[in-house]
Amino acid sequence: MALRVALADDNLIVREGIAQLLADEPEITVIASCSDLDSLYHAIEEHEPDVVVTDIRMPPTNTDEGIRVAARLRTTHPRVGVVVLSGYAHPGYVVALLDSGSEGRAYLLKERVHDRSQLRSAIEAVAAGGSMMDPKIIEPLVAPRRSGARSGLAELTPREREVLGLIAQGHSNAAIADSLVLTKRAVEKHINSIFIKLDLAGAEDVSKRVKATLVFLSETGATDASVMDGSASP
Amino acid sequence: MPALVGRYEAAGDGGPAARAAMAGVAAESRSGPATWQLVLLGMLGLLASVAVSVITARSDVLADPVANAVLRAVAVGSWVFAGLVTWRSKPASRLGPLFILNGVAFSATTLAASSEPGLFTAGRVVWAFYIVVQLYVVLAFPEGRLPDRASRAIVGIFAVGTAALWTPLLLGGGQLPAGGALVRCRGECPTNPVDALGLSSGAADLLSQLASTLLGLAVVAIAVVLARRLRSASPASSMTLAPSLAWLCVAALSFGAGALVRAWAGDATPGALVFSWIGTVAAVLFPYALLIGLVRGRLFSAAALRETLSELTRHRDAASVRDVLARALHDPTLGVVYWVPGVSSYVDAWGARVELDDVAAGRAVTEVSSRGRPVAAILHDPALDAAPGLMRSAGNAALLALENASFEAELRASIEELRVSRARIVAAGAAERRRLERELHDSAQNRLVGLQIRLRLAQERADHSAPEFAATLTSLGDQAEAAIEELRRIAHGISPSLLATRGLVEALRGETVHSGVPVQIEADELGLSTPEVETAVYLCCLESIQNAAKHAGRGARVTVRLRHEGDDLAFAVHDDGRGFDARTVEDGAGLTGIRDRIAAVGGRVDVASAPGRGVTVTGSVPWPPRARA
Repeated sequence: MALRVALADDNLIVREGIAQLLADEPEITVIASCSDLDSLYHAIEEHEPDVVVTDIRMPPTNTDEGIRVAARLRTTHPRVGVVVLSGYAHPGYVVALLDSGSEGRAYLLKERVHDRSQLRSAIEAVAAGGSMMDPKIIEPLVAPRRSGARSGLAELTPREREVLGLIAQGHSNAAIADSLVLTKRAVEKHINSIFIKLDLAGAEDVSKRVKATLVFLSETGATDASVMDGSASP
Repeated sequence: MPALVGRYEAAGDGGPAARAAMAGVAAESRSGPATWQLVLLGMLGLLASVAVSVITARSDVLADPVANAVLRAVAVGSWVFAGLVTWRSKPASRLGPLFILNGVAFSATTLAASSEPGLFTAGRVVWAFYIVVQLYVVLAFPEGRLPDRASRAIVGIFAVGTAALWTPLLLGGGQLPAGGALVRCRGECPTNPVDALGLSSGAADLLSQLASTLLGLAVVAIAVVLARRLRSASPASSMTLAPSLAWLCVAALSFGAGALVRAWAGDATPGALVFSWIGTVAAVLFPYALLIGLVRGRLFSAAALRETLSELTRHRDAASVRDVLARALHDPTLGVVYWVPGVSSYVDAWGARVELDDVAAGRAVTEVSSRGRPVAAILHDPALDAAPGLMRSAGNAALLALENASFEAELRASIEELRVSRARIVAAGAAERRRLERELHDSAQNRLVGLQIRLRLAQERADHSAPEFAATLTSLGDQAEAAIEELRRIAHGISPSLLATRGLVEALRGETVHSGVPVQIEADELGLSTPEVETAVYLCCLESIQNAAKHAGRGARVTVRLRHEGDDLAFAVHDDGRGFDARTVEDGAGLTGIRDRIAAVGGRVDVASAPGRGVTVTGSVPWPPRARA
């Protein structure tokens, strides 16, 4: 069965363009096309789409509606995936999007949209509960650390990979301890070890988690657009 | 010689009503009496005093005629004397005439010395009236009018009550109520010639007792009101009021106590007589208490002026002028505002524009001018106006210093004006940059994205039929992508959108993710502020971080701290890198720009460094919360 997609962008040209692109995709059906936040919410209530593809900036405030939609759907419709289309390559927006967890979330730069394989991958990834971040945003973050060989991800133990997977999904230390049946202390030890191996030990605390997530996504998610769902969940 | 045009100088032409009202002081425009009028009144008073004493001493009705005569003569003379002195020194106040009226009313009570029943009764009626006037005077001191509802109520109730009790007694015949030591009869008082109602002696006694009780209660109420007034009086006015109010309390208490004893123990009991005489003597001497108060007020004025002059020879700067005046005049709330002709407005000592009406609420205003040009206005306790000429003299004494301070305030006002206009320009610039940034994203970028999609669709269609054309379309698509990237770079340089949407901390955090140097951010919950303030701090921190990334050396770490300090935001960017010698290195263009930006939003920024000690950039800006859109 085709994936049902609600589309939102206040720019008619972009909205129609995306609709045309997706019209050629047999696995995807656009069931609603909206031009602002309110009509998007209505469409979600009415059609219960599998995936929302939304512009980051729309009326009414023209600020970060797309990220707010993602945060709100996390509680109201946890099964709906969200692809945020953005003109901003700034990692800060990715950090904001991942605030409510990376599961079922994708952040795609608008200039990628014309590449239908990228758009399709993103939609399929979030529909399956996975995530995808635009490589153009992640590359500058991890590139300097790649000068040797890999980012350090390869050095992680399987348990550390599991912990990092959960961090990437936005879980707290306590939640990670619960789901892996570890003590909080042990989780902290793993996390410290992850940070050291990824060369993040000196970074600022909040962005440390996000950076670790991005490194993780850049290699397991974005590069091959594969899905990271549940690989770490029990 | 500089002239001073103040409230007092204008007092003669009747013009100050508006200004006095503005200052919260009752308008007083009555002109004073001429000297010859006062002399004439004084002579009449003396005559009345002599006549009263002679008539009283020869009375065969009143008890203790000699003592009575002396006290009556002193009372009449004192009221008239105090009235003349007050009238002369405070011609605008009706206190002087009131005192004289008191003396006149008192003289008329001497009719009660007559054994002729009609005259005696008339004298007693005037006595009752005199008591009402006396209570009015006591409560109206020193303003010359009843200042509050309590005192108006006391006088009103007492006047109505007296009339209500005396009317049946006057019509009903028999004995009139007892009236204290000065109207006590030696034997039986002459009986009331009118006897229309034929009251029983029991009923008449009851009415008399009620009249005495009413007086006693009124006096106790007055004592309470006066004590309360004295407690809340400012230093300047209590200097003038204290002796008279204290004296009044003594007189009022003994008078009241006497009246109560008389009402319940009897007219001629020793207790009643003692209280009666104490109260009488005190009441008779009351005018002198007032005069002592006036003298003390003048001594206060003299001391205040002496202090003002001697202090101002030592301090002439703006900040001291206010302090010196406040100290010398014992008015800690005293304020000075300065006239700036350029903006046709008063400004405070910091150069901020003020509306005289706003700052003068509940205060008196004394304007100080030089050569007909306003210089400053002193806002002070209205009680200081009670001392005649004090504020005018103080303003005169401080004129030179006030002029200096006024220039200083004017300078500050222009600096403030400049700061405001610079802030306006910065704010307008920030708004314009944000608008541009939005335009680039919403309009230009989206158009290119739309173009890109169409090129892609066209290219897909051409793929099989015209591969070369398809390749051209692909390359056009790549150029569109490059244009989008270019546009994004430009837009971000114009105004970082993250700052507008998610605030300072998240914007910085976003930048530090790829800053090339480890950055630790420690921040309070800052909330959003105005775009120009946020942009200034953001750019300052970013510049500092970038400098650290460039110059601090390998392995250096940066810590950014952002916290509230009162209404300000304090920020600090510290790196533990190699540092530099702050004495030999001049500010680069980047830092100068940062300083300008921070200064334009009313903040400051400092850079401290030493070789091997890293670099610390600290600063603070006012942090007004952003208005909800």
